[in-house]
Amino acid sequence: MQSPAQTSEAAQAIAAAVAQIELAVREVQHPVEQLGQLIDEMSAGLGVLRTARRRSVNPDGVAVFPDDFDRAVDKLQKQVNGSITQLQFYDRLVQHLHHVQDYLSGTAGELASRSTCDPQSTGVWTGLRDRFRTRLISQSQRQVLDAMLPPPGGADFDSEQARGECAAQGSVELF
Amino acid sequence: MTRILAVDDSPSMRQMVGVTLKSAGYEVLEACDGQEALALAKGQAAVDLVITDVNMPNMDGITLVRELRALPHYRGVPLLVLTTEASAEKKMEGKAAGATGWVVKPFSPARLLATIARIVS
Repeated sequence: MQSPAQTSEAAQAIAAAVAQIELAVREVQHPVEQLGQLIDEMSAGLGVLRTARRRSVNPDGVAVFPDDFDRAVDKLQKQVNGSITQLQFYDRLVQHLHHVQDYLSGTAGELASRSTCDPQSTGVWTGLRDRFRTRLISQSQRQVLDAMLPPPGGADFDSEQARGECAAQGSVELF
Repeated sequence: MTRILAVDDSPSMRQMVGVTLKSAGYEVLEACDGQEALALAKGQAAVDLVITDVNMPNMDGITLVRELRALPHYRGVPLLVLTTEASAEKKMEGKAAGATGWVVKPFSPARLLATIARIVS
C-alpha cells in the first residue's frame, strides 16, 4: 500500500507528463501551420498554371511541350492531394494526445485528492478508464487500452474490427 | 458559385478541407464548432452543402445535423459528415439525425471532390 507521500509524488509525476504532452503538441503546431500554408499556396499555384494553360491561344506561350506540361501539373496535383491526406494524421495524433492528457489529468487529480486504500477508489479508476475509452477514436487505441488496463469483465479482442476500421479510413458512404 | 460550409474544431482540418474545396472552385465558409455553424445557418447564410466533423466542443456534429434539419431553409441542403469515427453505430446515428453521407478521415481530396460533385449535381 502506498503512503500518502508516494501517492502525492505519483500525482505530480503524472501532472509533469501531462505538461510535456501539452508542450509537444504546442511546439509542433507552428510547423504544421506552415506546412498547411505551403500546401495551400501550392494548390493555388496549380490553379494559376491551369488557368494560364486554358487561356493561352498559343500553347507554346505556356509550355513548349503542352502534353508534358499537363502531365507535370497532374503529377503535382496528385502530390498535393497526397500531402493533404497525410497531414490529417497530425490531426488524429493531436486528438489522441488530448484524450491521453485528459485521462492523465483525471488520474493525477484522483491521486492527489484520495488515498489508494479508499474503498470507493476502484469505481473512480474504472470510471476514468471507461470515459477515456469512449473518447478513443479507433479500435486499435481501444485494444491497447484494454490490454494495459483490462475492463472488469475482461477484454474482448477483435482484430477483425481493428482491421476493418483501418480499411474504413478514407471511405465514403452516401445514405 | 457553389458555397460550402466546412465545420471542424481543428484549424488544420479546416485548412485542408478549404484547400481541397477551393481547388475545385467552390466558395468556402468555415465554422469551428456546431454552435458557430448553427449561428451562421440561422443568420441566413445560404449554403449548398455542409461538411461537418463529429467530435467538436460546444456542439457535436450529429447534434448540428439534427438542428440544421429542423431549419426550414436547410431541410434540402446536403449534410456530409467528415469524421474519424468509422463504427456502424455512429454512422446509423448520423443517418438517423439526417446526414446525407459519411466520410471517414483521412479523406482523399479526389474522392471527396467526386462525392461533392455527385451530391450537388
